[in-house]
Amino acid sequence: MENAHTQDVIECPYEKHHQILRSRMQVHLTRCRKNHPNEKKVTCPFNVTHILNEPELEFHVSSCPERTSFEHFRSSVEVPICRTVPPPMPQCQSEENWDDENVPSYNPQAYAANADVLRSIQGAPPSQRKAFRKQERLRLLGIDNN
Amino acid sequence: MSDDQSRGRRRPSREYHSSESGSSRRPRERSTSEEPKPKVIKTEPDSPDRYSRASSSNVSVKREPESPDRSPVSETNVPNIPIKKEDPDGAEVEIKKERASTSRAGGDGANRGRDRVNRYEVSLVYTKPSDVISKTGSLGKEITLQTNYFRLLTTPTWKIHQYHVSFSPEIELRRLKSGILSEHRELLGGYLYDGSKLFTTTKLKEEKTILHTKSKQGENYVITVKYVGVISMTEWQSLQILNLILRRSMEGLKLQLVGRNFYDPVAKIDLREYRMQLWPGYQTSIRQHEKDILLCAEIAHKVMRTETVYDIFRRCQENTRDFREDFKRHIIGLTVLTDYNNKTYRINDIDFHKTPRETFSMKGEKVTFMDYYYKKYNIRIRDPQQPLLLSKAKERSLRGGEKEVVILIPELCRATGLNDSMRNNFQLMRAMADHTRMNPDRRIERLRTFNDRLQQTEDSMRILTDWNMKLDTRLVEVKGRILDQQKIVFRDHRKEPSGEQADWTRHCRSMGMFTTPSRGLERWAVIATNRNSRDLRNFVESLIRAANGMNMRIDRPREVMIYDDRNHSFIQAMEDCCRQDPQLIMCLVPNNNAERYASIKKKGCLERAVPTQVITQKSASNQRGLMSICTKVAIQINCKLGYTPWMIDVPLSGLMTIGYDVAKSARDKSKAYGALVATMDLKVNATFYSTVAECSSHDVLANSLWPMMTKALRQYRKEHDKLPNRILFYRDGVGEGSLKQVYEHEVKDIVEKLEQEYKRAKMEKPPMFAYVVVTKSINTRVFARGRNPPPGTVVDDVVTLPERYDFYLVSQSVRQGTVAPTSYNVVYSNIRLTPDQMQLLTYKMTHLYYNWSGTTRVPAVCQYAKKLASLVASSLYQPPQNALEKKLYYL
Repeated sequence: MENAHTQDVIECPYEKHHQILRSRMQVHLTRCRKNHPNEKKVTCPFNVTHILNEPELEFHVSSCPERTSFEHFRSSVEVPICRTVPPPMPQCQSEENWDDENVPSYNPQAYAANADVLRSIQGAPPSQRKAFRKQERLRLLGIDNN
Repeated sequence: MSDDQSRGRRRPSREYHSSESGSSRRPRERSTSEEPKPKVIKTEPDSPDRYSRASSSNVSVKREPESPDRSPVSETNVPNIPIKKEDPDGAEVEIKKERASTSRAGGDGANRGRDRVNRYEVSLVYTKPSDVISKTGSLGKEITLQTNYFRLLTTPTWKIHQYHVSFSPEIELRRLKSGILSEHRELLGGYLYDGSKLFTTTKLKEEKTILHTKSKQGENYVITVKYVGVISMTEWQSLQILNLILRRSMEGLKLQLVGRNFYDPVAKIDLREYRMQLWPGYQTSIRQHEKDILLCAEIAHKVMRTETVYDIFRRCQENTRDFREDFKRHIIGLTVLTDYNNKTYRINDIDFHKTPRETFSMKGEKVTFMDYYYKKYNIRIRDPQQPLLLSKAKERSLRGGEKEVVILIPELCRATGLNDSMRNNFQLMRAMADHTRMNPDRRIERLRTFNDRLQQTEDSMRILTDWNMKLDTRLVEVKGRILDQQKIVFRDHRKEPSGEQADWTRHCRSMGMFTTPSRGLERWAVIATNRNSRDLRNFVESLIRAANGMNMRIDRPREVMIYDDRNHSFIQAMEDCCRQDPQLIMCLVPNNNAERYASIKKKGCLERAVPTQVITQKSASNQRGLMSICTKVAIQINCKLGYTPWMIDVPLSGLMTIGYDVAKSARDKSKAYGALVATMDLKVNATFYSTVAECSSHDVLANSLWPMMTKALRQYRKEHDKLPNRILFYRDGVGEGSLKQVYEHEVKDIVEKLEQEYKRAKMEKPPMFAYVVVTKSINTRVFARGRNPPPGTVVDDVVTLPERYDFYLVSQSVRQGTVAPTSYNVVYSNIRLTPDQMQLLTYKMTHLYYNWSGTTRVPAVCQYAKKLASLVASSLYQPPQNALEKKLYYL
């Protein structure tokens, strides 16, 4: 098994014993982050999966492989370009105006918690899942916790 | 207290919903401003103590007498008896179930069962918290729609024990496994077995039961049945069991499982001249929807190629001298299906030196392939001389501990899928579309037939009744709404309604475009081969005329004639043209050769930052459709120069809408390109900003969204001297399954960084932001009286999911087949808009895709992002010049 596939394994920033396949890093990070809520880490501005200690950030940013796109963006001024006149900006009269709308967002969890529907729980540890199932049973059967 | 009451709802009451959908029973009302008003939905006079408890609360309680029309459906589940008592067909199992429930639970369970029933027949109270708004809107004209859902009338009220079953020695075939297990039927009672999990109503005495069986072949098996846990109807997992029961009953229809769906080999459609079969089938799933548990059924077709790899081998052998090379060319890279285990493999190589007579060692014994297949699958291999196929396992299955190379027998491998030559075969595709593309009325008919078959086939019905499941025969109906026609704004702010079918091609020609370059298209060049010079002149002439009609001035171009159609000649000519700093270069090419197209685009987007327009000779010389082609090209050219053909009314100022999509690279499979397209406050600025970033193809989620968003925000700031008030993000390219991942990985990060960015820019508060996931491939279909619903139809109830803020929108108009609605999931929102406004805004955004003078399936920003990403992924292979980012050069 120790062949070409092992080389694409990278270290988890939260726990170095976690050797994670590059392609699974996204998934792993969301899980592992939960176990380290107090960790002082910063994310690289170029890539969300690059998670570092604060002092290392500056060095990383200067050498991050994803910097290319940023450099590409920055160097745009030097390229000779043909500019067309910027288009005029006609004011578009609108029949309605929603600018001052101020309504809270719909919260599906709040609805589901009170409705006669089955709810699922994702990504919780077993103890929480168990508690959730118990609570759901009580909720749906309508038996009060007290 | 009110909280207490809202819990006071009885679980097994679903059968009432169906008869009174839309009645006051349903918690979610249209009006959002309504005061919280608790209602007693159903009361029974006997059991005064419970009732008094509910009514003693300090909120007003309305009392309704038991009405006779309420319970016609409830005959299968008499309120006072939790478990169905008698049913001639399913008697055996039912009785067992009942016995199990009484004997198992001792005093406690039985009491609780009774207690539950008494208690919850009494008062069903619902309170609506005042601050919760509903996700259903009210704008537009109401319409009753049918969907491809069936309601589950009775959901069983069981308590089920789950076990894990393992065999030793191991058995591969599911059928064999269940066959052997079935000898212990008496012990297990009525049970469900899916190959590893066993669900039954009987509780075995021990945690781990070990059974011994002798198979017909005389082999001894040891079966270990391990207890896992108990599942009741109050758990999410019970849906899995419902699905399992449904699948079991579908087996009764003599359907065959291919992949994960059932197909009907009897009703197959033979396309003999193409050596193909179409198997009609069903994709089904039972899920918890907004209010009820519904069964979604979609008609699917499976393309089955009738030939095996062996047939291809024989053909190669007959036809060509160098048949090995020929065979290799045909086969390598092909995905094959092996019927014996229903698995697919990709063929990587062929071993011509070996035959099925070859031996391999299995558990220390030498076995030939022929013996192996006979022993394990009872298949006799006919030709012992055929070569062997090699398939390298995928990395993922390697990690799962599978063998690195799998050896396959050509005779047993069936080719699957369509290859390129088939896909390019117009006749074949049309013959297929005739069968697969179904108009709504025919689809409804087929769904009904499916239901009838399920209800009338004895085997299927027995399983359903055994488990106390009943399926409604009618399709679920839902109230949808048709949003008003949107007004398209043309030149001088003249407005025209979009029309019934949301198609404004005609207006486009007569009204003139919204903005055009003030001095027109002055400097531009056309490149064509000598041979096509006449077509070119003709075309340019019409183009100028068409553009003039739409109020866009196009001057005569500089004509560059080249002597041959080699890529290099075109590039050279483009280079020459670029010295004169043209606004646009148009190339008339003899055919749609992908390579030539790519090199023209590379020159224009990567090296030179000049918008390019490519026309094939075929469309330029098309006399009959020339004017409409020219109109489209003129609109495209206008967009490529950075101007706008038409606009819509957006009632929000300071709004930035963003679309994001990904496309996999055609050249390097490990790479993909994500494109982000953003509007810059459509009220005052009708341009689109675009940017592209490279990402790796295995990443489902986007890692570098923020850098791209920063660029868009910076551009916005450059143009308006401030940052947007509201940002609406449409995310395409993720499946429904990864919504939570999207939230954790993308949304949280963006929200956090937006906050920082706005603080840095000295804005008083972060923007109002919403993140919407757009999904196109879904199984939901809606019908309006046997036809497709008109564009603008919104469905935001019944078939939506309770734990999501979602809605379905049919924005496109479809002439053939059934329209597929697009699903929108608002994953995050503090944009401070009502659901009505979100839906309308989304619909408005589908009007702005300038390659098509009509509405699109997804918001225009998504469609642009998709177009840009696929241009980069299939032709450019690297992010284009920044100078182009404000133009729609990718159209």
